[in-house]
Amino acid sequence: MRHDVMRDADDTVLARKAAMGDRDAFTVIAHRHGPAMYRFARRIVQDDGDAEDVVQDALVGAWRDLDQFRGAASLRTWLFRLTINRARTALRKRRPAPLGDRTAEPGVSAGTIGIAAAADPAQEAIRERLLAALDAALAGLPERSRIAWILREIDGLSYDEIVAVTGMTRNSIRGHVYRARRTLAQRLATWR
Amino acid sequence: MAMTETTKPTRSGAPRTAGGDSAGGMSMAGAETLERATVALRSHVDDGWTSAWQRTLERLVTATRRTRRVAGSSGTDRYFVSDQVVAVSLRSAVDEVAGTQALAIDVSLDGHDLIGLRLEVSMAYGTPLRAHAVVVRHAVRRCLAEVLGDPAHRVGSRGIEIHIVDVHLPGHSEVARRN
Repeated sequence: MRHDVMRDADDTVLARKAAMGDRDAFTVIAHRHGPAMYRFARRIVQDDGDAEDVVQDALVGAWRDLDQFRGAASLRTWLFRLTINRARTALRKRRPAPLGDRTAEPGVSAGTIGIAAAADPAQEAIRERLLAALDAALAGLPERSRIAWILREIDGLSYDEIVAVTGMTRNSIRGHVYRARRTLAQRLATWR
Repeated sequence: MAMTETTKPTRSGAPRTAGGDSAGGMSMAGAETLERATVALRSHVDDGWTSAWQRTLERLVTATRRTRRVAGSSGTDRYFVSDQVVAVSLRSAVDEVAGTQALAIDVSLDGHDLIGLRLEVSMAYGTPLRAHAVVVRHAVRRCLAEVLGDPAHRVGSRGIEIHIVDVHLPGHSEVARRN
């Protein structure tokens, strides 16, 4: 199958092929970046159905506009930008519900969800509870702090890439990441 | 919930170390738990995505791009082909030429009539470029004739621009074909 042949191709090659109409190449892109896009979207809109819509819209948009993608940013950064734009649109549609003012207690699941298979069921259960606590703590952060922290700490984007995705300034992002770290650590301090 | 000292970020954004049982305003226990949770989330795939993947794939398969119509004809029969279809066909035709990879294809139209093509290609290192460009041009003309029929003949040789913008190391299949 061509997917297997292209599975190891780098993003630039895949984006070029997809821009010329190669759907198999785009499927590999979607398969590679979809999980991170969904993880990101899910924690912005905080709803599985909305997250699915956001990611689907972002990927369809990417497919349609790939011929305009010139590689100035990385493909991943571009996909995150499409995702955040769709997620913000989804949130605007369902305002008012100020996410930043919400608080959640650690240990209360915010919708987390399955865990990658672990060898030890006990370890897996602990991991699942830990992720649920993190999600609950994340849900209590202001939206911008949550976005900045996820892009920096989970997806490993550089500050410049986060600027490109979010439109926030570098200093603002640094501040949000710092405050998010501190708040999350405080909320997870009592987790057992 | 653990109470911690209030700290401010340094100019670089790194938290100041507060000492004691906290670091940068974070309790050590909280910082360690956060680190474990962060590592777990990095490798985590949401169940929601796992179940959404198939539906996403179905939507992508049916998603269409904005397209322009390119006129084709066979004798007196006139028909139209999407410029995306033309580009996909050309990409396949160019990629089938040993040592050549299509990088970008731009289709120029006057109304619905094809008046020019710009192809950016990469050629395998060591390929005689001028001779190879002729082979690519023939492949393009053949492809256009198959897809568009008669109008393809109206695209003169100056209407097909081939730009060799990169070279690449020949793959196994290209080495085998060359030998």
